[in-house]
Amino acid sequence: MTSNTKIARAPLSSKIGGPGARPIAMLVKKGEEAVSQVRESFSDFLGEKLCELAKMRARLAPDREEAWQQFYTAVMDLRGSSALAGQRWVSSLSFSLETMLRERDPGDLRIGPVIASHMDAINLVISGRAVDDRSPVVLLSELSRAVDCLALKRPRA
Amino acid sequence: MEITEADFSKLCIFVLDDSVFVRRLLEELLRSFEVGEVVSVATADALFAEMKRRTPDIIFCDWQMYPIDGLDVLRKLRHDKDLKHLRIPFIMLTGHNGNDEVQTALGEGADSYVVKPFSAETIMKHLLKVIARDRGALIREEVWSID
Repeated sequence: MTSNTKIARAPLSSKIGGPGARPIAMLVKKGEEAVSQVRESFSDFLGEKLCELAKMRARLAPDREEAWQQFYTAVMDLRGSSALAGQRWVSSLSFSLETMLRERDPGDLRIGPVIASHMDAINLVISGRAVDDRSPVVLLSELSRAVDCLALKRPRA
Repeated sequence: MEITEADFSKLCIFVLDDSVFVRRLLEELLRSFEVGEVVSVATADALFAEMKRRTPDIIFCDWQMYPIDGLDVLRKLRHDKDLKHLRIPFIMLTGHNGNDEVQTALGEGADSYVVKPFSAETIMKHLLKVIARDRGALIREEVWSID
């Protein structure tokens, strides 16, 4: 018996050298400009995401686990994307909602209005009608108090 | 040795994320780095369908997706009999930064782990780290012959 060794894939370092190589610092600067430009398009994405979340919210019911999972994943996306776009308050409000969905019992009938309050708060902040920088802080505080009243998820048997 | 300059034009990078915004951000970022080919997809099924057409050099993959998440994708890449020999470098993207999550991803074979939100500098740092550490992949064949 003999054994042959073949190259399935060459090391990546062999693919990045050569006369076309550019300074990393220059490429990072180009990257920062690209990120800035994409961030400017965030409001379009946000509008679509909020519509999607509204539709998903309408499908939530205590026994529809898949609907809750999809809603949770969409809220996580909103949180992460808004953080990437530098939208601090949208990200914070989404994080509050995300944490609530992860920790609280979907069977608690009070959860629906608390979800609605979170969505209203996000819409208020986006609209620019949250009067000043203190308003989102107040909103978060009130939402946190509402979440604290909800039942925790029961651990799975 | 630190990499101070690079030509990424020969690289093909796949991006898997269910967020339109994150896909667009990474596409534009990697293109600004002059990566030769950037392919972005929204689902694991789409990723594996693309991999039937060509093999990526690196995969950026979001962890939190539903119903198949990034960890499922990573496990398939590392254990599937048709894919595991390629040992494709894999960078996990996630909103979670707990030590347990990091260890889980690395333990399953991720080469790096990026917490969102990320900057251009962060993505470049992880890209270079993965490239510097990559040793390629070999296939050993055993050939029986009757002498």
